[in-house]
Amino acid sequence: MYDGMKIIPGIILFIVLVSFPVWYDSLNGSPELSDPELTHGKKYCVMPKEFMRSNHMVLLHEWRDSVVRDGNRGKVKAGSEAYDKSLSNSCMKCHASKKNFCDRCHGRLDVNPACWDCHNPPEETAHAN
Amino acid sequence: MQINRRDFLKKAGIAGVSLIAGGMLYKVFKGDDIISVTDQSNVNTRWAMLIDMKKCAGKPDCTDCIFACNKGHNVPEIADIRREIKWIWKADFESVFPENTNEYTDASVRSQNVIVACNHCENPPCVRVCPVGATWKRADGIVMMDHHRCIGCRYCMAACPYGSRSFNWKDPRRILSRNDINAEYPVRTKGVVEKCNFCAERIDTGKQPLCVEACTERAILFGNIADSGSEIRRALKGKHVLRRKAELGTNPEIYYLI
Repeated sequence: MYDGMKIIPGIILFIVLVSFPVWYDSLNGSPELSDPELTHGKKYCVMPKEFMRSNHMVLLHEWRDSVVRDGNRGKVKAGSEAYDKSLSNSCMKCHASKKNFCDRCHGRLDVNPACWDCHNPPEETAHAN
Repeated sequence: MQINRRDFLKKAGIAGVSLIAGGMLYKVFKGDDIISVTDQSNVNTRWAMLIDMKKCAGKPDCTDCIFACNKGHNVPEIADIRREIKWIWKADFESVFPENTNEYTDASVRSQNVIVACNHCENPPCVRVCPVGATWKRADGIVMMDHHRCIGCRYCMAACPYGSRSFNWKDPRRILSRNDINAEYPVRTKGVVEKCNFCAERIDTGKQPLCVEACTERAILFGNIADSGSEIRRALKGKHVLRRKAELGTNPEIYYLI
């Protein structure tokens, strides 16, 4: 092989660099993924936890289109209670801290939804830090 | 028959151009017209407003309706007229009703400041020009804004003959003080257009618009003008009312008793 002395270390260096996230995490252990904080005593959400984990954004978009575009402001049942289809006025009433609910995962995953450009987050209370 | 290359190209060009022009002309004269698209003849809800300027003019300094709207919808107060945000505001009679003003118009009429807002036109020019469907007319006649879709091109502002639309040059959160924000209603973001929405969020839940509720003189009447038994229809009966620039064919839904 011509230039084997350059090619082989080059390939090794390339593999080391490309696999950086894998070996870095296996050496240092993955950072703690803190669960989003639920600051309410309610038992039921409008959808099961598993659905919400992966599909809350879909649900919020459907609510948005239903309320804004179709003027359909009917309530959504959760257990024995009914909620408005609203991020600020329903979701955030139970999940009362943006910092400890939304931002925990969004921050870690570097997701920046535009929700809060306009919608008002709940006031962060002292205990929620 | 002989035809040379030059003549062939000329004739082909003429044929092509006349085909395209014919198609365009056909669309102009026979195509979908906005009037037929927005046919209202079988609609049973059509929200409208009747503003009684006789009652309103009794309190020339009152801004209760404007204040209630601004507070409820987080409309920031900006002094610079090129940057201001307006949902409901006051304008002098002559600029509101230029076609109803003449050189002998009484000073008492001319000096009035008239309450104006989005007219929720039956043929809204803003809706026609919006390239992204961010503004549209609901079945009940409310011309809605979807700020999620607005790209801030301001075509609608150019199209609106009433100046009812405002552009957010700044993030309104930088102007509104935190304590003044109504947390239940969103603010807007920099780069979107906004306007009066006839309090769609309240009408849909059976409430009256904020300005109507706030007016102590009961000068603003809101109701379903398609319903012949409604309060607004009874109030209109036997009265001569004005509408802003009705000659444009927009068919505005705010009526004025002067």
